[in-house]
This record gives sequence, structure tokens and C-alpha cells, in this order.
Amino acid sequence: MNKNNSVLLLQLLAMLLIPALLLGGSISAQDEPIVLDWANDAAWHEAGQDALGEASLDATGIGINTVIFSSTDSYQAAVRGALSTDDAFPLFDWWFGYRMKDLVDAGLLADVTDIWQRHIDLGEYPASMMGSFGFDGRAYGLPKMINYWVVFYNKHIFAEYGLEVPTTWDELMALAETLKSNGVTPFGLDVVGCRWCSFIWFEEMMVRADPTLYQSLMTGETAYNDPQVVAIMEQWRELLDAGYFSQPGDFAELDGAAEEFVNGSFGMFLIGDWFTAALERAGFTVGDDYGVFVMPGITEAGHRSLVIEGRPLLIAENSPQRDVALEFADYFMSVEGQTIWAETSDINSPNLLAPEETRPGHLVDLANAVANGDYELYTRYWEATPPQIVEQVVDLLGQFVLDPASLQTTMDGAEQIARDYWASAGGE
Amino acid sequence: MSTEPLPNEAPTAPLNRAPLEAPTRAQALYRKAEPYLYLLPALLLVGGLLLYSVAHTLAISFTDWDLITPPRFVGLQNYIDAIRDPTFTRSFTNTMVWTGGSLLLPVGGGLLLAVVLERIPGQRILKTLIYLPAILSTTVVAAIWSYVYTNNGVLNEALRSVGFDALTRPWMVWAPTNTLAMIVASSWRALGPSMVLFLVGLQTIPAEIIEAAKIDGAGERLLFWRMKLPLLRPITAIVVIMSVIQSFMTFDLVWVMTQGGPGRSSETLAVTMYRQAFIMWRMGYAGAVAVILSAIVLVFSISYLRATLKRSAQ
Repeated sequence: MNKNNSVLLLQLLAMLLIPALLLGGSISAQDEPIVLDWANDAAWHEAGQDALGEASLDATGIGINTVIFSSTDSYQAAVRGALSTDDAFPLFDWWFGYRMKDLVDAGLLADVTDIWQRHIDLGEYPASMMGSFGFDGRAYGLPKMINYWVVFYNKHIFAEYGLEVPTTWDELMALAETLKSNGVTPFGLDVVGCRWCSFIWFEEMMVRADPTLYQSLMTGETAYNDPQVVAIMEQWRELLDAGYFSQPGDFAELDGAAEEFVNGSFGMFLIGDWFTAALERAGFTVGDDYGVFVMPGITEAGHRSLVIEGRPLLIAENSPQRDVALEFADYFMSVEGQTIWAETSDINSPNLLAPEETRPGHLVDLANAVANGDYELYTRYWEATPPQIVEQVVDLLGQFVLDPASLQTTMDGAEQIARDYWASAGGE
Repeated sequence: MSTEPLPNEAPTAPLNRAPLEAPTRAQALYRKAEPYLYLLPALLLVGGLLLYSVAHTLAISFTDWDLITPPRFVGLQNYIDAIRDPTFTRSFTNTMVWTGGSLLLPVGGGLLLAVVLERIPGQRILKTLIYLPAILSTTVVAAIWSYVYTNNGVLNEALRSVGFDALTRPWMVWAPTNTLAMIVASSWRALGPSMVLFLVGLQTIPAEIIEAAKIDGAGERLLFWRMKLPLLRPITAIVVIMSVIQSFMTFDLVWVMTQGGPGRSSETLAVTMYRQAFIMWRMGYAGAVAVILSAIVLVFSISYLRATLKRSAQ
């Protein structure tokens, strides 16, 4: 056999052997555990997801490979772009309420209603929570994170003026007046350093006065310039005119707000419970320096309202691993899964049966109250209505805070935006 | 008689070497194509990353694409929507203010500093200090200046401390003050690089020309306006073009400091484009804004460079 023939023979052998080796590899791969990609843009979730993946691997044989994107924009574009293909990430984080509506409408998300229902029946989640993760009685997302919107108060200021946590709207107003008369701004609010913060008091006033009206406004059944809505806005305007709020431009971003809160520039700050982290960074300790309370209702109906914000875990309908992802979702919702998730990610688990030790101390009572059914949960304005409306209305509300006299113009403008959206959405 | 060939005559092949074979067709083709093969990587990069993106943006600007449903052709609707949108008009105006401000502060200021620093002692330290902010990221610059501009921030406190209470104001609340304040913040960072470019330009001016003008009795002012400034024209063209393009692309600083607010009063065209693309998911509308933005930059750059080069040639 000459040299050329030897080379030819070797090539032939390689051609036969390589596919055989690859085939062998795939056969042995079948015995390996199934691993699901779980994408998100929150690097601080990585440790928790990995820990949950390891626990899930032991319990269900399904492991997790965390895929972190450093930029929210590229993350959203990559996920949206792949969702209609079989390259879609089987598991991915998103924004709840109307922020996931277009994905639901396009049939890109797996229905997880049955998983929710099973865990609600076990008493692990309040039934009203599921509504924020879906539409028309069906759920399409699982609660990876739930935050309650509460009033943070400076305990030193409250102690200095002999103030108690208010339990009625009148008590809250009397408290605000006491602070004001002592030269302390009652509430912090800025729409300059924080553009979207303009919706916070609009939403809160609505759910405290008439939660049903709030919901119908969110779904386009009530107009923004409806006399009832305008009347509630007038109550907010009275508070603005009374000088109960910090001045626009007083602080830069929410970390700046935390510093001003610590410095005692204002007594109370209405925001999501995640603000705790900013306060701790600014040097305040829960219990010693600050506490939280749910804002009392303006009406009896509004007294039981609680605004929630959530980060859902979604499952791609087109992913070839959809069914395995649904299997993992069941473990994720369980007490065991949620306990591991809460312990390793420092996140307040929405699972009502998760051990108390996994919750930040100041939120234990609130979580128990939610578990007891003391509150009706309402989706935060940012996600409760279509983003095409929200993104424009927050700018109008920002203008209203700067110029409270523009109330009617603000509400007429908001209604025009909402009407245009609902008309085009209805026509689609 | 000499047997040596004439200088322009090719030497004949030595007798003991075989005559050269004529190149085959494939070889000839390869020789022709060879130079282009070297260009291929660069062409692929430019074509793939630049031309394709431009073509793709242009194509989607005529659709209603939202990234999840297939795009539908809508003709010029996105362009009509953009031009009719009052926010687009405001963004356009703000962008023009940014362009004007960027020409005045980083370009004009950079030139002034270069001319002044060229002649004063201790210039090295001053140059370093002025250049220092350029090494900071825009996000850091934005965060620093956000604190400078708060109601009780550094600027208002400084004004109060020197008795200028009447000049204090909420800097980021009302238009156009918020845009002007952000231009100052941006210029703080951009001043150093343009100053350095002008300094390089000044050093390339032959000393004997300046010397000759001085001997002819030209004063400092005349020297600047009639000698240095015209000789700096190529550098000025680069600084102006870079500054204008930069100001048309103004996004990150505004996004961090105000997100275009309050009430979209400080929005620029790049912010509008971003909002439409990544918040409203209106890729077609964002594409239309991008095309309009690029067209403005292109028209400006071509006409400015033409005029400058013509003057330089003269």
C-alpha cells in the first residue's frame, strides 16, 4: 500500500468513526440530567437560581443553567426576538401584568393556571395574587418576586413629635399637618430624578379611595377625566397645595431619596418594599431607624387595598423544553422550592407557607396579613394598564406634580392617550 | 560596439534558463482577484455590521414591527406619525439646542483653552485637570451632576454662599434650563478631548510663519484670527464634526439624569428613538426616527466638510 492509499484509508476510517463517536455521545447524554436555560437581566438573582437548580436537580432531576444578560434592553430584545422560534429560552424572567400582555396575545407563553391553582388550593398563595400574572382568569407567569407598596417612616422623626403609626386617613392627615407645622416635609416625592415616580401617588390615591374604579380605569372601562377620577385627583392636589410633598428636584434618583430620608428631610416615603435595600445602604437599620405601614384607606373599601409589584417567571410556549419547564415550575412554586429561593436570593417569598425566617423582619406581619386575607391585592399602575398608556401618562402626571393647577388638562390628555390606545387595540 | 542593452531595454533571458511558461487562466484570475481578497475581511465587517444595519433600519422604518409579530408594510406612516408628533418636534428642538451648545462650549471652549494654555506656565497640570473628566463614563458624569443640580445641591449651595441667592433655582425641573444644565454637564467631560485636539493643531503650525507675522507687527488678536484660526481649519473641521455627531447622538446622559423628563421636556431625538424601540416596541417608528436623524447628520457633515475643504483648498 503506497502512502497516498494509507492517507485515504485513514480519512475513510475517520469519516466512519466521528459520527459513531458523536452518536455514542448523544446516547450517553440521554442518561444525563435535563438542564433548562433560565434567562434574566438581574445578575443578583444568579446565586439563587443556581442554588434552586441544584435543589431541583436532586428533587426532580431537572437542573438549571442561568443565563445572565448585562443589559435590560439587549435582554428584552433577545428574548422577544427568539420567542416565536424554537430557540426561545424555556424559562425567563419578565415584567408582569400588561407588560407581558402582548406575549400572551401572541400565544408565546405557556399557560400555568393549573400549577397556580394546585398551590392556591394548598394554601400557599393568596388567590388574588394569580390575577396579576395573567388575564381573563388564566395565568401565564409564576411569582419570582413580589413586593408590597408601603409607607416607610422615619422613627426618629415620629418619636421627636410623639407620632404614632396612623390607622385611619384622618390620622394620617393630622400627622402630616403636625410634621408640616414643625417644618418637616411630611412626604418625599420627586418626579425629576425619578420620572416614573409620578404615578405612585396617583395609583395610591385611587386604590385608597375607590379600588374598583382604579381597576376599571386600568382596563379602559372608566375614563381618566371621569368626574369620580378627577375628584380623587383633586384630593391629591389639595395635599400638593398644602405643601405636604418635597419640592421637585430635591433629590437625585432613589438613592438620593434614601439619603434625604435618612437625613430627615421628610418623614415618610411611599414606595415598594425593595426600598429597604437603599435605606440600608444609606445607613438606616430597620426597627431602630425606620418602619413601614400600609397607607390607611380614604374609604372603607380602600382600607383593604394593597398594591403589589411582581417579577414573573415565564415559560416559552415554543421552546422544545416547554413540558420539562412546566414540571420545574411546579417545584419552583412549592414550599421547598420557595424556601431555597428565598434563603439564597434574599428575596421575600410570596409563598405564604415559606418559613418566617426567610422574610425580612418588618415584612413578616404584612405577609401574615396577606395570608390571612386582610388585603385585596392590586397590580401596580406601571403594569396594571398597557405600557403604551403608562409611558405617556407618567409624563403628564409629572407635569401635574410640577403644576397642580393643570389637573384637568392632565386628565383630559391622559384620557386622549388611553382612548387612542383602546380604540386601536380594539380594532386589531 | 557595446553589447550592453540600452537602459530602457529589457535584458534577455540567460540561455541556460527555461523560457517562462504563460500563466494559466486560473492563475491569471487569482492574480486579478488577490488584492480584493485582502480587502474582504474589512468589507465583510463594514458590510455586515454597518451597511446591513443601515439597510435593515431603513427597511423596518416602513413597517409596524414589534419584534414578536411579523412586520407589516405601512408605507410612510411612521415618518408621517413622527413629523406630526409634538414630542418629536420638541426632541428635534432640544437636539438642535444640544448641537448649538456643543459647538459653543466644548468646541469654542476647547479652542479658547488651547490658545490660552499654550502660553501660560503650569499648563501641564491644568491640561491634565481639564482632561481628567474625559476618562469618566457618561453614567458617572450624569450621576455626579445629578447631585450638583438638586435643589440643595452643590451649585445652589455655592451660589447661596456667595450671595447670589436670586440665581438659585431647581435646575432640572423646567425646560429649557434642564437641557442647558445637561449641556454644561456634558461639556465638562467633552472639553478636555477637544482642547487636546486643538493643542495638537496649534503645535503643527510652523513656528516660522508665526515668527514672520510677529516681525511684520501682527498683534496677538490678529495672529489668532488671521493666522492660527485659518491654519487650524482641518482640526476644527474634525472637532466640529465629532461634536455635532456626538450631540445628535445624545442619549446616555439625558437618560440617566432625567429620562427625557419631566413631562418629556428634555427629550432628545436619540431618547425618542430609544423609547419607541425598547419601551413602546415600535421598531418601525424608532427606525423612522433613526433614518431622519442619520439623514440630518449626513447632510450636515457633507455640506460642512465640502465648505471647509473648499476653503482650505482656496
